[in-house]
Amino acid sequence: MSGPYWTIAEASAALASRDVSPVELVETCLKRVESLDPILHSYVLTLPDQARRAAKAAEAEIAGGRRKGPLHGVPIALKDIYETAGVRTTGHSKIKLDHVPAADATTTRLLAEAGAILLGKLATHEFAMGGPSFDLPFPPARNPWNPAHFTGGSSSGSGAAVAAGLALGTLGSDTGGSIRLPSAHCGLAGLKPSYGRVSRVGVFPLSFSLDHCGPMAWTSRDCALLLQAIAGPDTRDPASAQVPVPDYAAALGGDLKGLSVGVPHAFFEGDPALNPEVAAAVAAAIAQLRDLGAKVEDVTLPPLDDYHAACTVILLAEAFAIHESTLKKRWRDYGEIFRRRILPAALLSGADYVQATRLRRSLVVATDRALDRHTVLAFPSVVAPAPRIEEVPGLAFLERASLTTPANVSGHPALSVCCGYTKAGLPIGLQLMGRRFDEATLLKVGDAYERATPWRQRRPLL
Amino acid sequence: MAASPERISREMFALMIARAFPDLPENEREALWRAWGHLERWTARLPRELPYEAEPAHIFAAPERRP
Repeated sequence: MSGPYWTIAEASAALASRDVSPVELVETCLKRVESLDPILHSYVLTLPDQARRAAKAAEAEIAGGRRKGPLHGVPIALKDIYETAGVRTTGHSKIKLDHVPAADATTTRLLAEAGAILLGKLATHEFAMGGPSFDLPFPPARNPWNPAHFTGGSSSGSGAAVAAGLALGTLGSDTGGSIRLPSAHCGLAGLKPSYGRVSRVGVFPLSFSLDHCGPMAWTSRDCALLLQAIAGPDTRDPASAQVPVPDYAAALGGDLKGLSVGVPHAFFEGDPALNPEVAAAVAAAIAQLRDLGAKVEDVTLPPLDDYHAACTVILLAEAFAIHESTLKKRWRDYGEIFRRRILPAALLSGADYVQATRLRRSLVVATDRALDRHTVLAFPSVVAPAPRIEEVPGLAFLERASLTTPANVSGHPALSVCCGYTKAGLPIGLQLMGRRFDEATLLKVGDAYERATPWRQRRPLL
Repeated sequence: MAASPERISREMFALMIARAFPDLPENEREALWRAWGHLERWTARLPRELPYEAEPAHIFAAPERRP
């Protein structure tokens, strides 16, 4: 433990040995929320009474020898698109401001069954697609490394809360990068699992064929502990896969001998938008992977713009199908950024959508081939550090290709880990993309990298 | 004289928006026109002459899926 900050792994060990109680952990987080969240706006709803009750119950269970596992007594929080029985779930939107679900999302339930304690619901971009908007019922989350800056999105509160120590772990969702972008900008580890690995039941959809649910935490090890609790088939999710879930924590440790890292240089080199500090940090991180024993080679993938074109058309068409009816009746109740981004989808044709899914198939095949030759692919999570919040482009993914969309299009797992900081103190993210359903190897690489570098020792000065 | 491609596009856009969102105010239509310009760049990258064997990606195509 360093100062007021705990990782999930540290807290879990201290809870097991009864060096700390769930009540103390919950109180620490709630005090930090009270003092820091008026600046950071990471929560849209806190649940102090419910959390304190759960902490006391967990304390008694652990003391009575009934510890449920590594998450028992660990304070966590959820992006406000995860349904929570009896607790308002808004999608950060006026449209759902009074929505109180009758049932938990599958993932909400699995975390509760693992003994995690829910502290509250976290800010998001509107329905996981708007931007950092000022015309919504709640303000946008701020980056704990510099509150004048953007958190990344759309899991904005999830990123800010973990970085600031306002929760030890969170769940985000990722349709075009919404776990990995805030993880990169807030200095976390964030995992978009394979498509089908984690249930999406009870999570507001944005795009049926691109949506993924996954963990965000300070370290890859913490992501492994969270993923363990939520991974696995769900018969109510039509995309869920019947694939065995390995022991993720057991796969961690050791070096990277025998692993092959492919670097798709064409994705990012020569891009005038690639920030020099990001370029240097990512190059150093890839060199570190080599020092840890991995073989590093260049790899050729289809153009990034092809992935982005497929992702953008599919995402917008599917999102528009979900929101069309409400948009026609209540378009004024959506935020301006959401409207600007989604309304052009009204002009897409059926053929556009089908051509995008045909292109997608060829991209999936090409990505699978690259990952037949390499264990993981490594490249930047995002081309630049977090901009100031007022400088975030309103149309974002419509304006330029994002390095996070390939893994959404192909369904492969992808992890963002912190690989350094700019001179101004803003985090930089390295993205690792792995073989389908091989999250264990991705987490092993992320964990080995984090243990070999000093970046996990630094926290925001709040 | 034939209308310019830009003008034809703009007129088609106006018709489609009038059909989808008849009560959208003029300032929203202007913003939407600009956003559509960006989206058109991405739709222009989509392949249009694939052989018929090039089927779409299907959510349920992977062997591990059990719909």
